[in-house]
Amino acid sequence: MPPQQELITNFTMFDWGIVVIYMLATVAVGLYANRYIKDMADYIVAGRSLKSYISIATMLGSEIGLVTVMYTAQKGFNNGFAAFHIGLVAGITCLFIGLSGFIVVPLRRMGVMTIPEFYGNRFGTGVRVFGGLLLAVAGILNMGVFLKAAGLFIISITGMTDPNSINIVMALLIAIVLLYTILGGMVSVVITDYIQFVVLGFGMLAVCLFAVNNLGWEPIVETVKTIHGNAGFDPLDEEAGFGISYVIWMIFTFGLVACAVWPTAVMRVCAAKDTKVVRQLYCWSSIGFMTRFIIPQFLGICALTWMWQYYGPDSRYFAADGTLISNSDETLRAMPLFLSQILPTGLIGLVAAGMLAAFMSTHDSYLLCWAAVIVEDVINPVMGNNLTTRTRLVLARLFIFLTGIFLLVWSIWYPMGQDMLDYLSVSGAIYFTGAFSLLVFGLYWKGASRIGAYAALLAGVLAILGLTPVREFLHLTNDELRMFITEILHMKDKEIEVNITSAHIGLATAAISLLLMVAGSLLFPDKKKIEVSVEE
Amino acid sequence: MDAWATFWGWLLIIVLFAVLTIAITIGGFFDVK
Repeated sequence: MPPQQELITNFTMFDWGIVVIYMLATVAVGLYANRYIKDMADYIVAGRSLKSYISIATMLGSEIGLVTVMYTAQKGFNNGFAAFHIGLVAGITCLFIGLSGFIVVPLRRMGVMTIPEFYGNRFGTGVRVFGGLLLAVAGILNMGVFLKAAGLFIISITGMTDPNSINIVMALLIAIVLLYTILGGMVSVVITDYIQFVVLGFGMLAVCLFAVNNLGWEPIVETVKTIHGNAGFDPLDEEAGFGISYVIWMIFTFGLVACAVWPTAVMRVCAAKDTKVVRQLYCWSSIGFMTRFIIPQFLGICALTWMWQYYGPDSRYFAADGTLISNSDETLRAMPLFLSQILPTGLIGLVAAGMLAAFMSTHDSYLLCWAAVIVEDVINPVMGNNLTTRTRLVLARLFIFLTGIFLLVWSIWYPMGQDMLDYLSVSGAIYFTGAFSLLVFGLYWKGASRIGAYAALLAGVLAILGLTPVREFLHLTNDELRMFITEILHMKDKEIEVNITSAHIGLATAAISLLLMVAGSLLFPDKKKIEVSVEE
Repeated sequence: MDAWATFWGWLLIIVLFAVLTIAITIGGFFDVK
């Protein structure tokens, strides 16, 4: 490879100033609003009934965070326009849920606040504890790469080149997040969410305009044709693209699960005033789900075009024959590196500040969410629900701190080895494949039993085989499987193709979970019916 | 390939959010006020 010229970022000290002032101002506004509206809790509740512009801003804003932008841009970079199918199916599925009320309406009628609480009401305390434990493990594993995405974003956009800078940035980030969370987080989300949405909304639109203006539409399309060929446009292209199994996996994960099973979505369902509001919420959210994928993916495609024009073949991102490299960390960095080259000073600082502030609030709500699951759904029920409020609060803070330490260690040590979006869908599947079975059969089939629920939840653990390092550790990579099959079947003279992807493993896990739920319920029905309280 | 490129291009234009952002910025300001 010829020596590469290092990219000089447009990010200056002036931009650092914008980042620091923006972050401090956000905290100050939040604290001021907290003091000002502490007896206005009813306003926030009213906001949930979709009467105000701010509640729509909160809803759309919560779909667009730094981590989302990073992993979706990576998909656009690695797969071209074909990646747009993810946003399209996510939006359509979300709209379908809004119109049909599938899962979310009966869940809202039950009046539960979390998924493990639903487990407890429908299948008993044991299932709640086991399901809560799986949810916390999958959620924290899922979150394990957030820090890396944020660290890579910062070092790329600001132009840090020291190899150690990523670890220092990640350690600083987690320290700030922990401080922010343990000190109480941003309670008055109403005002800060509004500011956040305005900055990121206009920021994203401005970035898209700068990108198209800088590159031109035709060169963007031509570059995708050159690098990806037909697979860069046709999502059903099995050769080098996604294929039908991947599209179905996306409908399941970023459509059904992201809308109706993932804790942040369920929280929204449970907080809504009534089932009518739930339906409205999902119809509006379909725009957010589409936007969160398609706009960052387009920026990933623009980054691909810029890198191809700047570097050409046999370089940092491309092999001698023009094919893309498969280094996950490098492809994650492509979009922020591209932004560091095309955005002017000032705008680049504002975009970075908006992204970082979004990262803080996302991290804050996730840390609180997983700590609450461990304390309220696992430890407290095991201790016979005898823990005092103070003990639970201390435990929650302890788990937030321990999770923070784990996130830093995991981000530094774990070799991702696959696209971040695929890592997120597979690690999340440890929880959501089982949860989906329990929700569908628990809500729509009276015969669903406790044993069936345990079996379905346990099946979700199989999803871990979709993580590349796990497959390598267990010698289950496609090459090793191909060699094993040819040896077993004595077919050394024939060429066997083995191409098992994380999507295949995820779909198989979901199918096994559903089957075990049915089989377990039919073979071991509940002796005593558990009464389900339904509030209308 | 060209048909797909046209389809994704139009989808991108439709998605490009701008109307919502402007409406929420103005409406949200009066909400806060």
